[in-house]
Amino acid sequence: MFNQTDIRQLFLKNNYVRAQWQALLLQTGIEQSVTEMYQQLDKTLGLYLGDELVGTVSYQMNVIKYIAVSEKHKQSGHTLNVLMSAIIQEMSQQGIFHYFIFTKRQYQKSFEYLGFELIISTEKIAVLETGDWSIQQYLATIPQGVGEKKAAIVMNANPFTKGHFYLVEQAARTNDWVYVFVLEKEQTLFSTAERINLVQQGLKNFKNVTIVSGGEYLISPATFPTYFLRKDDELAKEQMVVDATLFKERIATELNITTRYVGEEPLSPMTSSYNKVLKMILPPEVAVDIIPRKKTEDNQVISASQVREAFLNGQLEKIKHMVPETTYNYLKSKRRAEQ
Amino acid sequence: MKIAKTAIAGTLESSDVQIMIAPNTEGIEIDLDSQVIEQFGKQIKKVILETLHAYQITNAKIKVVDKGALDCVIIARLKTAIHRSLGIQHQETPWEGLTK
Repeated sequence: MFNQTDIRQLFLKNNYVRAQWQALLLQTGIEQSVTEMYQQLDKTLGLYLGDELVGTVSYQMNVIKYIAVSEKHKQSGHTLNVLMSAIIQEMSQQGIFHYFIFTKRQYQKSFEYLGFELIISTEKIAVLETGDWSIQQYLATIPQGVGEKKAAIVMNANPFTKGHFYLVEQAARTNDWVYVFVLEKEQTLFSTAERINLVQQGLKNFKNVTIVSGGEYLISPATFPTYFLRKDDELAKEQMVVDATLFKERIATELNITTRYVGEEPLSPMTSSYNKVLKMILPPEVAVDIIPRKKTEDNQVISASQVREAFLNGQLEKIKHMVPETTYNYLKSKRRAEQ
Repeated sequence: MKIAKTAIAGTLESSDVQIMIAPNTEGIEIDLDSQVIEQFGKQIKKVILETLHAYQITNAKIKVVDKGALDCVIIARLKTAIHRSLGIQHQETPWEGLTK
């Protein structure tokens, strides 16, 4: 039997410790390629029996991950309970009280037994949460739109351009109500508050649009971290499937959303695979409408990354035609304030 | 007293209980998860309500994951969670004055 004193923090920068840790994870089927990401983890705990590492758990932001217990010490879940108690205590000391878990489906029950609630499960993965916040509470904060036909658009809007405006315009024309979800993620140039503010200013003339923060449930750094790393590999694919399933089963059903609009993506392979995953998962309950990119008068594709670049280089004149006046004015004054 | 901050105490091990206390706007909300909810659910809730009452807490969300804890353990864990939430230091804890 173990108690909390057998638990130590693992410093994975140490090669010896890391090798031990990776060997244990491999037993549970977590590949070494995945564990190369160890530098992003906020903390890793190890459970020792003498010199032997028999259990481990880590967290990154508010996601508990890389949980492994050696076969010999599974002891009807006792070891898992010790590890989970310890990591929850560590996280609460950092002021984190809402916890996510991504796990293989066969372990879903073990976590439900610890008070976790299932959000969704895909063929491979189950996503669970517990703590002082939940998807029900998030959904309760969203004002219900009126009408029969409702659509949704999820955007980073980093920053809000005429391309985003065009997408909303198309959706608002053919639907009774449009929910615009803005990703909640602090990014280098524009904060979440700034981005939401620009979306609100840019869309203020629409009467049938609700602007909401995507919270922790729509392409968030917690549930879909590879989105922000612009990766397009197997891990990213799995996270895309999770994100799409969560949108379909929890958000679209609750808000009666029948269409999701996305911008066509000629420039980024990652976003283009994401669009493909949406097309695969959402229909028939939710239609996916891919809108061709808005072009400027001289046939240039509008993209927020060009806007950011021009902002950084102080060449705002160059992108004036790509953004609404509200965004342009904001960028100008922000640029001035930072000089 | 007003609960303005989330706090947690206890573990998920056998014979223990993990209790999280969080702010709430309307009254006391208890979310109880227990293997013995049929036999002891009422008793666990009663003990929690009494303890909250002793602290004059009228608005709070309480999430309880019970692993078969005795009443005294439930009270101790809940008190610790309350103290962490309110930021009461150990020295100031009125242990004697709060028997129930």
